[in-house]
Amino acid sequence: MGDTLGNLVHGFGVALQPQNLLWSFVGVLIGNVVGVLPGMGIMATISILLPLTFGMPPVAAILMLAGIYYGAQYGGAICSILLNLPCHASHAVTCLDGYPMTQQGRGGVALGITMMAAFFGAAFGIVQMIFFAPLLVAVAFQFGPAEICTLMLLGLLAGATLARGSALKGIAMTILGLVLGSVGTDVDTGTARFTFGLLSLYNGIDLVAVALGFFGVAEFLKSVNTITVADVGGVRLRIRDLRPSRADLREAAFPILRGTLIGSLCSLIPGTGPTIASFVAYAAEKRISRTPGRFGQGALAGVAAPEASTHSSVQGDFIPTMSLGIPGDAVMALILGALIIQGIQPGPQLMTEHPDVFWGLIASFWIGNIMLVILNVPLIGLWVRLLRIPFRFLFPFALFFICVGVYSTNNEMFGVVQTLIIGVIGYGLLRLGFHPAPILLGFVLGPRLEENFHRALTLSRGDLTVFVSSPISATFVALAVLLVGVQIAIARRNRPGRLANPVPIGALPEEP
Amino acid sequence: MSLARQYLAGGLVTLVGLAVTLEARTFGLGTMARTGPGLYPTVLGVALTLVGVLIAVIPDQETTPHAFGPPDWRGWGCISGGIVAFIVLGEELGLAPATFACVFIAAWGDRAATWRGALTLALAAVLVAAVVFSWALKFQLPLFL
Repeated sequence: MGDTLGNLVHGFGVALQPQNLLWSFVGVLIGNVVGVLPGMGIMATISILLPLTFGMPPVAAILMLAGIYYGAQYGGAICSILLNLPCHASHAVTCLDGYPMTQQGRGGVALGITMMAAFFGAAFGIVQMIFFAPLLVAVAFQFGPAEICTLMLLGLLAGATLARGSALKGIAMTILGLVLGSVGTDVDTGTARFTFGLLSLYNGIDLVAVALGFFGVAEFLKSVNTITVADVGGVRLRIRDLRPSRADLREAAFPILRGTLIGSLCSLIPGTGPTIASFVAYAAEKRISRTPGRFGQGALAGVAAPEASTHSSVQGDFIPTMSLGIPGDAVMALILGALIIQGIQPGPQLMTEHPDVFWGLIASFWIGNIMLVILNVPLIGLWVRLLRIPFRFLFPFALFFICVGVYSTNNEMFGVVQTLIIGVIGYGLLRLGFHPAPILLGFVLGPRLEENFHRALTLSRGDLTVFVSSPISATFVALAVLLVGVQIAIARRNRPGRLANPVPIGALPEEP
Repeated sequence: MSLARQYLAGGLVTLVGLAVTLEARTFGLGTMARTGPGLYPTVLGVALTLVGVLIAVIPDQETTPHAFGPPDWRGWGCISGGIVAFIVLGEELGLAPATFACVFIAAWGDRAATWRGALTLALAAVLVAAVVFSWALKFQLPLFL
């Protein structure tokens, strides 16, 4: 306990260094802007800025990239509530009651409650990380290669099947990601794999090219000429409008609490990120409400619960990523990739070997969330004005940033060629009903999975039972089997023609 | 989800899986105790092939209708064309012409694009390229080769 406090103090010392403070401010500011702008993705933004962080110290780089992620969550709600545009999947459900509130002239109250829900949810998520991550680390230190291998398989399987869309297609995309991750020179033997004689591929495919191809170029190919900016001319908001009345507060208090708890639970299951958390929270709130008919007509609980859930899940998302080295969704995979590029080996040893990164990040969450509340409440008028920038001015510029970003990773044009090819393929996959998020999970985890797979087999002298002989890895395998079994059972019950899921998880815009 | 799309999706995955398996076998499988560089990709290839077959055979559960509109060749052409222009002009002429062409061409992908809008956007991008990337961030590709 005293230890935790000491670590936190150390973390604040790191996060409050002027340089780190500056970069986390830059991160949350960019995140907030991107969150507000319709049609701009978090993934694309983080990957465009990734090459810029190569020259930065690791702590500053991670603080900034993480800041973009949770900063965008604050901005995303503005877009949903005022414009009825589900710009970001994790705020899509907020439209349902947020926009009716705007139409009734209560948009300011909805935003005010959202800010409170956001801060409360985030604060809970951070506390959860402070106490839960060290526990996970303590357990994970007993893992050998076989346990790491089976845990990764379980994580990948959950990431592939619990996310949106068809489970089988998710698995296919995960394996494709693993294959992409194995391109290049094999570390043990020096054999060139899947390089087709191209010298540039000997170092493997670039993380930035993969991320920007699937989440930048492919997204723009999808959304060109489909995003129209709604009229916000009638929306005028002042700080005063954001203040909720006492009755509003009483109405929102318990939904915020319940949403937060749901979000923090969802964040611990790989594959169920903020988007699913927000939908579950909304559905739960509607079910226990005494007046379910009010949902969709501007119920305050329908805004408060999912927003709290999203934010607590966003912060909680960092727990498996930072303590086990196993990301739950594509954004976390990207941040993990950024750590690896910085030369930091993810896994349970991260907390002890790089306390600056771990505790500095936690401290920066507190600072960043406070900055975001300060940024959003007084500056709300500015964000509303940003909503008016049309997509047709945005995407050509974003495309140019993508080209420059990929070029600068290796200072060669081949990266841009890769990105274009990956983008076109990615769009084709989108049209065929595949979601690209699991590809990135597989791509980032692939090399470590293979390494531990080889190591486990070498240690056991080729005996495959090594993966089920220890109780820990046997548990992971059993959980994986259970996961697949439950999925098959659900799929058989929900044969097409019968009633669909009560939570329309498939009805979301693409984006993790 | 139409049957044709289901077969196409499954068939493509199966084909990629087979290609990966065939290519991976040439890297050398090794033995179980001394695994070669080809073992892991081969396992992946086989798994991908199996999943591909399953995708083709089992009807998709996705309950939402297909969210994509009709083909938008103009948008696709201009976005891809913009990137191609950046690649070619960046190699031949330098960052400034590449930036201009990339943004200018991409801007025409939107149906509401105008000459003035596209020109302004492209010139603004060149300014950003010159000030932010070339001057402030010391971007490796020179403005003009």
